[in-house]
Amino acid sequence: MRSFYTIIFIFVPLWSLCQTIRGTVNNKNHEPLAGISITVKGKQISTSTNEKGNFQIKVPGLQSVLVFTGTNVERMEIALAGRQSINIDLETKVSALDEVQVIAYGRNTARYNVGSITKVAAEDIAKQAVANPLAALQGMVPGLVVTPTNGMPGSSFKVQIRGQNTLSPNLNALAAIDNPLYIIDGVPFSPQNVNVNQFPSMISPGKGNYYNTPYAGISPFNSIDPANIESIEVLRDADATAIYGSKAGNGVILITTKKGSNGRTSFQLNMQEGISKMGKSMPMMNTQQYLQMRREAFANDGLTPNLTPGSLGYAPDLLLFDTTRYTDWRNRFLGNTAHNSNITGALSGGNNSTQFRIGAGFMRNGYIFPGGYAEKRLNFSVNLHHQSNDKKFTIDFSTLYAYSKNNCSSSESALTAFVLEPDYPELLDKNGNLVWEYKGVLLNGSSSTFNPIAYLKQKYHIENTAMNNNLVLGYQVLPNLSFKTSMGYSSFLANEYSAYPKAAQSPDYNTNTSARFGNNDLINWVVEPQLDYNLLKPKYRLDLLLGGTLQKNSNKRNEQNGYGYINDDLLGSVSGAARKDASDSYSEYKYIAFFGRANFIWGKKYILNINLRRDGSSRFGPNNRFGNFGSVGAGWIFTNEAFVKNQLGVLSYGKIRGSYGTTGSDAVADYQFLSRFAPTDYPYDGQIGYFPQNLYNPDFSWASTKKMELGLELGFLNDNLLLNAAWFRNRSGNQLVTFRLPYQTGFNNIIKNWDALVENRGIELSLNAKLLRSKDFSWDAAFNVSFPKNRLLKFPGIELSSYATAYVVGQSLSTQNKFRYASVNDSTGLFQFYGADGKLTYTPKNVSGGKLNDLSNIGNLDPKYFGGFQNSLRYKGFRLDLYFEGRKQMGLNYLAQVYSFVPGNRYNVPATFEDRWKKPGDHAGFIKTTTLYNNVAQNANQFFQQSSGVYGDASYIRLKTVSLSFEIPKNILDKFKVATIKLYATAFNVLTITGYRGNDPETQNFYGVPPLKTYTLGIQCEF
Amino acid sequence: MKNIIIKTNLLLCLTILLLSLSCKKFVEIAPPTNQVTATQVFADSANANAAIMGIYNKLGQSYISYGSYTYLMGLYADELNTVTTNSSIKEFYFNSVSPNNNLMGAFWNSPYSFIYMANACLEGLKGNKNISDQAASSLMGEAYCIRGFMHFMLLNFYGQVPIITSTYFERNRLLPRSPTDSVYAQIIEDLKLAQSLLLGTNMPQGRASYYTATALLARVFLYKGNYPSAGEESSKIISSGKFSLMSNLNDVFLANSLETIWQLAQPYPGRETWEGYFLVPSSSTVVPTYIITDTLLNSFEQADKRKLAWVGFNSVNSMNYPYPFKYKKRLSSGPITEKFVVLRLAEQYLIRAEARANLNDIAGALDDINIIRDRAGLENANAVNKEEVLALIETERQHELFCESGHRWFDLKRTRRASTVLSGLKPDWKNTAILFPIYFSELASNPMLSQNEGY
Repeated sequence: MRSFYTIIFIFVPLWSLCQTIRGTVNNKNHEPLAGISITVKGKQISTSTNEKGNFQIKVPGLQSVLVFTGTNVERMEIALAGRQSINIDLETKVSALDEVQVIAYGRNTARYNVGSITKVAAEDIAKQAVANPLAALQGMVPGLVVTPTNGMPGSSFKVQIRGQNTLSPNLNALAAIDNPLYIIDGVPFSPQNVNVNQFPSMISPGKGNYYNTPYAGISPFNSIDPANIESIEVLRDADATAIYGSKAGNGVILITTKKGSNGRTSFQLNMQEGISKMGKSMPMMNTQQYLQMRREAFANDGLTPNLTPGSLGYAPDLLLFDTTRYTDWRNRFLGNTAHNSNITGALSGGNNSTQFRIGAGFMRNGYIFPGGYAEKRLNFSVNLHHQSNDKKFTIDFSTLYAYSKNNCSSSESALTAFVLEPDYPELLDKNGNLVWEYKGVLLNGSSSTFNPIAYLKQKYHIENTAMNNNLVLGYQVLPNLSFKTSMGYSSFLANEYSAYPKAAQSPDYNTNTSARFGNNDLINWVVEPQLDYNLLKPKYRLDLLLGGTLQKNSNKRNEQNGYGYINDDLLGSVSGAARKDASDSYSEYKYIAFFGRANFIWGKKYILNINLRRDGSSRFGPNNRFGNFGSVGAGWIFTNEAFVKNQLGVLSYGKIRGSYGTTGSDAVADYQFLSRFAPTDYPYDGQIGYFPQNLYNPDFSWASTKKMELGLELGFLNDNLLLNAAWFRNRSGNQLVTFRLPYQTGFNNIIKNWDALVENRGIELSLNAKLLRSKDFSWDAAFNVSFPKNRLLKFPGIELSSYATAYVVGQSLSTQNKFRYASVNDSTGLFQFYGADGKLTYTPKNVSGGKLNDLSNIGNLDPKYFGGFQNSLRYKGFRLDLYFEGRKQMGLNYLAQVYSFVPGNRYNVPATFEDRWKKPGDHAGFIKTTTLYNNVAQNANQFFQQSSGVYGDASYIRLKTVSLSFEIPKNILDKFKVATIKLYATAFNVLTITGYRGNDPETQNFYGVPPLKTYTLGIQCEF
Repeated sequence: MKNIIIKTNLLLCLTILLLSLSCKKFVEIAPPTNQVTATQVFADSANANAAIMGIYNKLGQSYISYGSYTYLMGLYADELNTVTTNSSIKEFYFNSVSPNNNLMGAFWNSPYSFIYMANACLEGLKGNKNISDQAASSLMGEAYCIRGFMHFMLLNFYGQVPIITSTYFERNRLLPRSPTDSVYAQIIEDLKLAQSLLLGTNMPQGRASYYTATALLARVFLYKGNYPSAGEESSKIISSGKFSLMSNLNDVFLANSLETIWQLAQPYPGRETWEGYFLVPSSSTVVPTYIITDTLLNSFEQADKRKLAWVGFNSVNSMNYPYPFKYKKRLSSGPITEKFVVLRLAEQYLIRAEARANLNDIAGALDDINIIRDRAGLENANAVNKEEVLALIETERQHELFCESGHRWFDLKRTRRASTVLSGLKPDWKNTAILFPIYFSELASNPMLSQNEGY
C-alpha cells in the first residue's frame, strides 16, 4: 500500500547566509514524531528530532536536500530550495511491518512480534461484500480453514486453526470441531462459533444420510456487521495465544471494531444491491430418461407396473401421470434469484480529547426458494474514546447491537423436493392452492409421492438479538505505569419459532397442527484488571503486563410446544393451543485466571516475550480445577546487526523467531463431573420419575496442547516484498475427550482424559508484495499457502478401546477406513469391491471383533494444502481486486447422497445415471436399478455408500471475489461538497475450477444449497 | 469524574484481590437447576421410587422397543406389508436388514440403556440404610425383572449378547458376547430374584409385579425349551385367580383390562399407545401404512371373531386394505383408555398348552387351546398327537397374538419354522436372517464384539 504525504510549506522570505535549518516533524494527526533522523544528502551531517518533534541542522547551502528516515516513517527527501524552516507532516504507516496489529491484551507491530499473527484489515473485508465476517476470512490467513456449511443466508461456517487437536467422540454423533476462541473488542463473544438454533430448519437439516451437512445451523456471526470491523487478527502459536491459557488451545480470533479519529466530522454511507443465484449443478433426468429407468427397474425386479396402491408394482408415475409432461423441479425449487440489499452509515469524528464513531446498518438477503424467505438485520454500533486534558485518564466504550430475523421453512425435506418424478402433476391449482389429488390418486404421500410444495408452507424463523459491550477505564499512575480495567458484557438471545400449519398438511389426514417456541440465551460477563509497565531506554525497551480475569457464562434455554390449534392464524401464539408443554435448562460456567507478560527488546535486535497464566474452571471436579500455562518466544532481527547491515543488498528486513509453550482446553460440557439424574418430561401413571444422564467420572481435568513454532521473516526492496515462513508443531496430549463407548455401557460416551497424543504440524508461507507503484498505476499482491499434517502420534491401548478400528496410529484423525470399490460387474450389474485378500466380492465384510476385515485406509479428509491469492490493481480512480482461494483435499462426492435413495424407485436421479447397467455384458458406471429393498439395494446402501466409490478429489481453485470500483475524481466532487464517491461492482464466488463430482467441492452436499454466486452493485460516499 | 474512575478502579482492584484469595470459591458452581445428583436420588424411598418410575416412563416412551418392534417384526415375519418409502423400514419386509440400518441402533441401544437404569437403581438400593428393607426389596425386585426382560429381548434379537450387571463402564465397555446358555441363566436368575423379592407385594398393573416376573419366566422357559418349568410358571398365573379372559374382544387392550398382567402407559401427551399411533391409519380415506398380508388375513377361520374385532379395513379406490386394529386409538382425545399390554393371560394359556403338548399331555393342551378358541367364537379343536397339537398351537398363536410385540416372528424363530414358512413368501430370504445384525457403530466401539453370520 502506498501512502501519500501532506507537505505544508511555510516560506520565510529571508535570504540569509546563516545555514542552520529549523523545523518540526509531525505525524498526520499533528502529533510530534520523536527520533526521526535527518541527514543532508551526500554529506555526513545528521541529527534527529527531539520529543517535541523539533530539530535543527546545519547545512552547507540552502539548495541542499534533507533526507528524513525513521522506523515508523518512510524515507523522504525534501529539497530546501532556499527555505530555512521546514515543517512536515508524515504519515506514519509506511512499511507493512509497522502497521499496528491487535494482540492479546495489547497492540504491537509485526516487526517486533515473535508470535504467529495474521491481520485481515477492514478494506479486505469490505471488498468482499459478505454478510458474515467469517466468510471474509476464507483464503486470507495461513493455517486457517473456513468452510461454509451451505449457501443459505445466515448459515454457519466451520472454522479451524491448524487442524483438529481432539479425538472424535462418537462414530454417529457429531465430531467436535476444535473451534478457536473468538474475542470481540476484548470480550469473549458469548455464543462463540456455535450454532444458535435449537430447532431444525432447511438451514440445519442435520446429519441425515443425504444432507451431509452435520454442522449446518444459524451462525451467530451473522449478527456482526462486517462494516463495523476495523481488523480481524488470527493468533496461532503459543507466543500469541498462551496468555489466554486454557481457552487458546485451538487458536484465537480477535475482532476489533472501528473507532473514531480526531479531525473533521465525517459521514460515510454505503449502499449496495445485489442478486444471488445457484451455480451450475448436475442436471437431473428428464421425463423420458426417468420413465425408461423406472420401466427397466420393474423389469429387473420381475414386476409389472400397476395401479393398485400398496402393491409392489404400484407406479402412478408410469401409468397415471401425463408422461409427456416434464418439469425441471430443481429449477422450480432452487432456480430462483435471491435479492440482497445492504445499507450502512457511520458518523465519526472528534477532537484531541474525545473521539466517536456511530454506525448503523440494515441488510436484507433473500433465499433462492419460492416463499418470500429472507434474512434481515438491523444493527447499531457506538465507539467512544475520551481522555482527560492531562491525558492521564482514559475511557473507551464500544458497543455492538444487532437484531436479525431469518425466516424460512422448518422442513429439511424442502431441500430434496426436487427429486420429484419429472412427470409429477402441477403442484398448485389455478387459485394457488395445493393440489392433493390427481385423477383419483391422492398426492398425500400415503402411496404416491407427497406434494412437496407443502414443505415450503412449514414455518420457521429465528430472531436474534446480539449485544457486545466493552468499557475500559484507564489511569496513568506513573509515567511508565498504567492501570486499566476492562469490563465486558456479551449477550446473544435467540428466539425461535417453528410451526406445522394445516396449510402444510394433506386434508386426507386428520390434521394435527403444532407450533414450537424456543429461547436460547447466552450471556457472559468478564472483568479484567490489568497493570501495564513500560520502560523505554535508548538501548532497550521493557513492557510488563499483569492481569486477572473473572468470567461467567450462562446459557438458558426453554421451549414451549403447542398442539391442536383450530386455526392456522393462531399458530403464532402458544395460548391458542389445545395442549401445551414446556421444558427448560440452565447451565453456568465460571472461570478465573491470573496472567502476566514480559516483553523485552534489546537494541532493536533481540526480542524476548514470556507469557504466564493460571486458570481455574468450574467444569472440573473440586480437585482438578486449576492449571498453569505459559510460553516463551524469542526473535532476532538480524538485519539490524552491524555486521549484516552493510551486506544486505536487496534485503531490507530479516527476523528469525521462535516460540514454545503450553495452552490448554476445558472444552467439555458443564456439570459433567457430577453423576446426574433428570426428571422425566411427563408423568407415568401420575408420577414423575428420574432417569440417569451420564456415566460417573469425577476425575477428568485439563487437556494440554504444547505448541512450537519457528519462523523466518524477510523483507526485500525496502519492505516492498515481505515473506513470512513458519514451521509449527502442536501436540495435544492428556486428551480431554467425550470418549466413545459402546452402548452396552448404558451410554455412548464418557468424559475422560486419555493418554493419546495428536500432532498437527505444517509449514505456512505468506508473501505480500507491492509489485508496481506509480502515480497512476499500482499493483499489490498477496499470496499464502499452508501445508498442514495431522497425525495421531500415540494412543496406548488403542486396540482395546472404542477407537480400535476408527483411528490408526501415525495417521490423521480424519482417516477413512472404507471398502475398496472396484467396479460394476459386467454380468450381474452389481457393485463389486476388493476384499482384504484382493479378491472381488459383492458383500465385503465390515468391522467385527476389533478387526477391520475388508475395510482399508483410503486416505483422509484433511486439506493437503490450501491457500489464497489476492491481487489489487489500480489505475487512476479505477481499482480491480481479484481474490482466489483454493484447497487440495479428498471429499464425499454426490454418489454418497444419491445412493441413500436407491435409483429405480420413485425418485429422480442425476442424468449421469444413464451410465447404468442395463443388460449382461454392459460395461457400466452404476448398478442396475431396482424398486425393491433387496440385495441390489443393499449392495448400494450398505456397501457402496461405505466404500471408496463415494469419495473422490474435492480440490478446487475458486475465484472468490472480483471487485471493480471507480472513485470519482476530486475536482468534480468538490463542486458537490462530497469528500469521496466510489462506485463499485462485486461478484462473489464467480468461477470454480475443480474436478469434483457433485454440486460444490466445499459444502459437498448434493441435496443442498451450495454457496451462491452473488453479484452486487454499490455506491460508497463520504461527506 | 477522575475521582470516580480512581475509586471504581480501586474498588475493582480490591474485589479482584478478595476474589483471588477465594478463587477456589469463585469457580464453584451450583448444581444444575433441572437435575439432581445420584446422592439425592437414593437419599430416601420416595426419590428411589422415582428412579424406578423413570424406567417405566422411558419404557412407555421408547417406541423403538415397543410400537415399532410390533410392526417391524410383523414386516419381518408374514404379517404385514407396507407402503412406506422409508428404506430402513422396508429392509425389514425384505429380511435384508443392514448393520447400518438406524433402527438397528435403537434395537441394541435401547435395551442396554434400560439395563443401565436398572443396574444404577440396584447399586443405589443395595445396602442403602436410608431406605427401609421392605421398600428396597420391592424396588429391587422391579429392577431385576426389567433387567431380565431386557436381556431376554436382546437374546431374541441377537442370540449371544454381552451380559451387563453393573454400571462400571471400564469393565462393561469391553465385555464380549456371552453364550446363549449363560444369557438364559442370567435372565432366569434375575426373574427368579424378582419373583422372590416381589412375592406378596401388591403392584399396580403399570409396574412389574410378582406376576410379571412369573409370566415372563413362563415365556423364557418356553423359548428355552424347558417345558416342565414353563408349564409350572404359567399355571401359577392361570390359577392365581387374579386374571381372567375378557369375553368381549374389544375390551382386551383397554387400560386395566382384567386379562392384563403387565401394561405400560404412554406418558407422551396426546397419544394412547404407540401401536395405535403407528398402525391405525390417520383417516379412513388413506391406504394404511402397514397392511395385513393376505397370508395372515386368509388364514383366519370364517367364524373367528378376532378377524372382526382386531382387523380394521380402509377402502381406497375400491380396494380394501386390512390393518391391525387391536388398539383402536391413534391419538387420544380426553382421558387415556388404552395402554400397551406387555403380558396378558391368553398367552399364558398358550404357553401352558405348548408345554403340555411337548410333555405329551395332549388332552391338557387341547383344553388350554380351546379356552382361547372359545373366546374367539370358534369350535373346539381336536388333535391326536403331539405334532398336530403343536401345529394347532402355532396357528392359534398366529391368530391370538398377531401383530403383538413380534410374537409371530419369535414363534417362527424359536420353533425353527422361519425358513420353511418365509422362504416361499420372501424372495430374499436367507437362513442367516434368523438373527439380526449388531449395529455397525457398536462393533466399532467395542473391539471384543463380533457380528452375526451373514452380515
